[in-house]
Amino acid sequence: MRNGPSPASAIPAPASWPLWLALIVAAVCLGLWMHSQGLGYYLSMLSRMMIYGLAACSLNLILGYGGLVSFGHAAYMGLGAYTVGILITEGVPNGWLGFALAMAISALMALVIGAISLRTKGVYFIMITLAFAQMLFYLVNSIKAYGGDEGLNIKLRSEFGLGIVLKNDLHFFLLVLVCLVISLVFMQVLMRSRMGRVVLAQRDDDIRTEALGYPVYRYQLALFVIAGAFGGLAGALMVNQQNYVNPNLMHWTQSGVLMIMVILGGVGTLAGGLWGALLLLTLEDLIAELTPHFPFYVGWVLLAVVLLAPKGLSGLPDLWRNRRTPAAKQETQP
Amino acid sequence: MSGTDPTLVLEIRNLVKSFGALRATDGVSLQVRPGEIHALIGPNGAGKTTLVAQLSGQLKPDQGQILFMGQDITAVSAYARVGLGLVRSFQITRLFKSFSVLDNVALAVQSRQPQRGAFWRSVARDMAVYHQAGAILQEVGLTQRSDELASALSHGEQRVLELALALATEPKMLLLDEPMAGTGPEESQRVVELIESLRRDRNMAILLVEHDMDAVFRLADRISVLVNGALIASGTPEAIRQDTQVRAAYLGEEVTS
Repeated sequence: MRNGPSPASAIPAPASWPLWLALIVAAVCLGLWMHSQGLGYYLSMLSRMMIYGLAACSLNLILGYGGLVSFGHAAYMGLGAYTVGILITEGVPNGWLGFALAMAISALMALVIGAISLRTKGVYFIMITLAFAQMLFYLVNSIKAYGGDEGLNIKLRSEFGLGIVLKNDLHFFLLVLVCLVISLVFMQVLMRSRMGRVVLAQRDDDIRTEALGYPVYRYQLALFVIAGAFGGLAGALMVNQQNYVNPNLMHWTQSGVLMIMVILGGVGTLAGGLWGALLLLTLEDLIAELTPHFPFYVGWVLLAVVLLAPKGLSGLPDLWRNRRTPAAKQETQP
Repeated sequence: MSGTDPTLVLEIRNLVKSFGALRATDGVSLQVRPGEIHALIGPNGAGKTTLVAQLSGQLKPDQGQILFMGQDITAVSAYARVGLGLVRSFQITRLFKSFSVLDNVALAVQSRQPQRGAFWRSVARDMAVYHQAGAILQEVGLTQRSDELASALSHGEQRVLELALALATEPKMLLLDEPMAGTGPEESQRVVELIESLRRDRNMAILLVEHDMDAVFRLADRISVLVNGALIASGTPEAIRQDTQVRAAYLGEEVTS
């Protein structure tokens, strides 16, 4: 029961459900319209952006809310993608099973990696998560039975029954949207639960949190596992979108791309990863047509965001409001 | 293991902690009785904070035993000690700066209240947690500042909130590491009164590490003096005042006036 929560508090405000509902309806309408206009290519591209958005949002759980810089998040995405890809190759195209297994295996791997790497802090944590992800990358590279470094083609997509045909761009788009919405609702609820409080608290001060009686390590590990599971879900969608998965999906540069999306969209915000993915992939598409030096320009955009809008795209409404009413400006500490 | 004394809240037996060649804690033995404020004084670098960190579980002693309410807690983890009722505050203010004052206390309250309903239930709607958090802010006199960010409080208010956090975990014993550090005379008066009220109203045992001698001699039932990691004296304030060894080593002219 809170009356006047401080606007600058790190604790997430209640979700604005009407706004979210409007966004979902708008997304559905956009999908229907694109489909009816025969813009299948763009619809598929939008699906891809949203999949990356889901992966980035899951990274934002640990990176943003948890304050733990995990530099190997692409590994979970890759594991999810390979799980579904291998199942389909082996003649098990059931989507329910495939997606559940993708999440479970990613979660399990996150449990192992997290249990070890969370014993370290700071730079060591970054390097250890990176090292584990690269180990998985090379491991997958060497599994010749499933394509090795050439990647794995799947001949058909996951099958969910219920009249869902993932070859249909609209069906696939709606599946991605459903997965994304369910994931974001889960994350929002999680961050407002008791566990979410502890996660935010240990980001401020882990020793103080422990001194209040919380087993911080276990909370961090649980968060790490949850983030890994959603990374796996994104991967399961990705392999269906591309009909293909190759080890590069797990490469450390992919983890870097996910981090860039989080920073662009807003570190420690619910949908920041999604906005970041939409922006980055749109920019990539637009700029790539004009110049081959895409990363150079992304660097400038990142620099501008970090210096001018620390909360990324998600912080823009607040920045705008504060500019108009400088008196009401809240001093916030990054 | 020799028999434990059930009338003691805290008993430290021959605690040793070294950092390389430095013996930060050198065979310290100490007892705290129920409802007692036991002050631990000593010059800078004497090892007071190191001792507190071992009692609260952030540091592992090399040797010796820590008994809390008759139970050996030497190997118990830091968070579990809070569950037993042994709670510390910090010398350097460590608050959750991105939380409001009320949310800071609510976090501490939440750690001792059982989860009601589903685990995904929003804390913000948990009346029981916020009711108790509000009561604690009332007790320490920070109600007016409930909705401020913790980082927006004055230093003195932050010291009070630091105490409120420890209180909210329903401790049986408090380890207060320089609760008046860096406060002005008025603010430290406020902290002293708060500590007095804890003893009076809650009969709480307190181990008080403090540099402010006025506060120490006003509050303490017993005082132990730590120099170079070892206790050189332990006794009533009167006895400590008279102790020549203590005067030579530490108190100097401060108490002669």
